[in-house]
Amino acid sequence: MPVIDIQNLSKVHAADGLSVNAVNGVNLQIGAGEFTAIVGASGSGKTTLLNLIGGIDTPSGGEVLIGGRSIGRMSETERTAFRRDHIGFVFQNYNLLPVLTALENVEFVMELQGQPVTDRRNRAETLLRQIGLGDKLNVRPGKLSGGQQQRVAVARALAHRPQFVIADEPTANLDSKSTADLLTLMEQLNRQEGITFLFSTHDSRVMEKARRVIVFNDGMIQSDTDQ
Amino acid sequence: MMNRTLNQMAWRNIWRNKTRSLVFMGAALLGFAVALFTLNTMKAIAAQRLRDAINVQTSDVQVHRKGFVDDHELTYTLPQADALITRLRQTSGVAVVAKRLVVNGVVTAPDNNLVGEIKGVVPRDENRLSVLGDFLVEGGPLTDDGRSPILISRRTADKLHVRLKSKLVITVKAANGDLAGGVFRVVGIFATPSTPFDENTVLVRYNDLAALTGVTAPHELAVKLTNPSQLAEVKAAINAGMPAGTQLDDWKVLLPELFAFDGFINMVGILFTLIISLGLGFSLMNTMNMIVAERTRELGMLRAIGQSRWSVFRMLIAECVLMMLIGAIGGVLLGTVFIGLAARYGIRISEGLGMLGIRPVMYPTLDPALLFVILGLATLLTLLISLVPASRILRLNLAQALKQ
Ligand SMILES: Nc1ncnc2c1ncn2[C@@H]1O[C@H](COP(=O)(O)OP(=O)(O)OP(=O)(O)O)[C@@H](O)[C@H]1O
Ligand SMILES: [Mg+2]
Repeated sequence: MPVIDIQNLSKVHAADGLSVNAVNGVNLQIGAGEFTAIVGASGSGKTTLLNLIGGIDTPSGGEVLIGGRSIGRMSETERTAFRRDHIGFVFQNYNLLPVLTALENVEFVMELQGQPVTDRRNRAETLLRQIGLGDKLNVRPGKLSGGQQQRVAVARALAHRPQFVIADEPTANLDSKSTADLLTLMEQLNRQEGITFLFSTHDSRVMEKARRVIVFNDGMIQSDTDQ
Repeated sequence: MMNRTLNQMAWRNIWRNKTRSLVFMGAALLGFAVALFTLNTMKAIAAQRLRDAINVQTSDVQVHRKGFVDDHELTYTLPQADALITRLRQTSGVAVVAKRLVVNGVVTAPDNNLVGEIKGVVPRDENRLSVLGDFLVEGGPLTDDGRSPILISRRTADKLHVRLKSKLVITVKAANGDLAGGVFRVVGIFATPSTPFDENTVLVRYNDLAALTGVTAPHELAVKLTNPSQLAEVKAAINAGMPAGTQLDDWKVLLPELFAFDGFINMVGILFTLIISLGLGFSLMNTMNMIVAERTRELGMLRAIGQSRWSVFRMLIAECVLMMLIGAIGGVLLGTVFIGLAARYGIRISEGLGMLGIRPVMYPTLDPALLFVILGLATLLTLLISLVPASRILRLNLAQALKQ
């Protein structure tokens, strides 16, 4: 069974009397352990699709089933808990909490879940050391470079062992060296720990690293290739 | 999520915009300090004024013949007074009972004269009942020794150009309808905070005034209670056996303007607190609006990664509560220091307010009840107002918030 099963999914954005079919009848399955990129021009609907999959937005039609459960049919409260327990998020602009240290940021979702403090602290520390930030545990994001912040964000996204991690343009704000480093890290985590990654990009170098590339155009899948 | 972490995040969030937070907390601090100081001083003035008036002028309750309060007619004396006094003294909760004659008359000195109220009092009882002795500025209280002593106020002494040991003639209407006069010697001069009392009242011995007027039964029984807060109970007990044609009045009736003033002060206090709360409330509302606007993306992110609406809301409210508490606690400390200094060195209040029975220098003390009213009311109101913008977070559109 796929981790993510998308059936006839559509989303209509309405603004100023204009409506846009940002996602238009998409069918798609993502299996466990995939390392998949969604690429497409600006405005093609990548963010909208990832938001629907992540339960940040709700569909106008169709279904997103995760582990067999329809995320669009949950109540807001259920959906929030579902995001917390089953999905990891990495954002384009890092979105770490500026008032928390790197360690506290990585612990955060586990804390929301109510995990005991020693468990979550150990897990967060191990992860931060693993991604080469062992010396930055008690540093706040403002004192970290963009590349370092995004690594912390990746650690936060998978610390609570979600079913998959969604990353919307995770490298868009990074220079090429940091981009390469981050991708290496994500690949490593994918291969060694079996973490499922679904990310969007318009960077061809990022796209090359993906094992499956879905090209998105006008809210529809134009091509879907394994490489 | 655990409250401790929410509070910790709220605490750290306060310091993200130091200037803005400090301005708000400073405003709250000053607001609370000024409110506490002002209201306490006002309360202290009102309470002191009332206490002085009760202790010197009326005592807690008085018994009169019906009609006497409105018209000090010489013949309106109390029937069966001795039996009544004995019964009152046996009533539980009664500390002192003192009988008085109250007669209008003319006080004449060689240079001048004045019309006023001559009070005939029994020295032994009166000195236990009234604190007039505390306000003596020259000489001593009335005693059973010596011939025809009289107490007059500083103002009366100045007006009549007399001193301690001067002689005065008191002229009154006697029971038989004739004028009667007697010579009295000044043994003490008093100055109470109440100008009207001082200008209008002289005190002589009961027996001397009785001899002069030919009226022996008292016009007034002044009753002091062991515990003034038992007023209602003791009044009820006394009222149960009052002779026909007599009436019992408490200080609230005898000093209506002071009783009303007490209520007025309470109202001013509540209004003052409301105004401060509104000011702080809108300032906090404004701060909260800016916070929600500035941190929309961050709040959207928190919601996205799984923090619940209520938890985010609570975190924002905690930020407000913390700022409010810091301001309030600081304000209470500062206000208490102000009050402490005032209690030690006194606050000089205009001498002219003696007309209102207000002492020229006040030494306020901190009224804990007032402290809790101000703290409770202001904190509650302020927070209620700040809930309005904070509640916007409950309706946050995640996708839009994250796009910012
Ligand atoms: N909240 C919204 N209201 C109205 N229209 C929207 C809204 N969000 C997105 N759209 C529109 O939907 C379409 C898809 O937008 P989306 O952000 O998903 O594209 P994208 O592929 O992520 O683009 P980019 O590469 O620029 O991030 C665009 O035409 C966009 O203008
Ligand atoms: Mg996008």
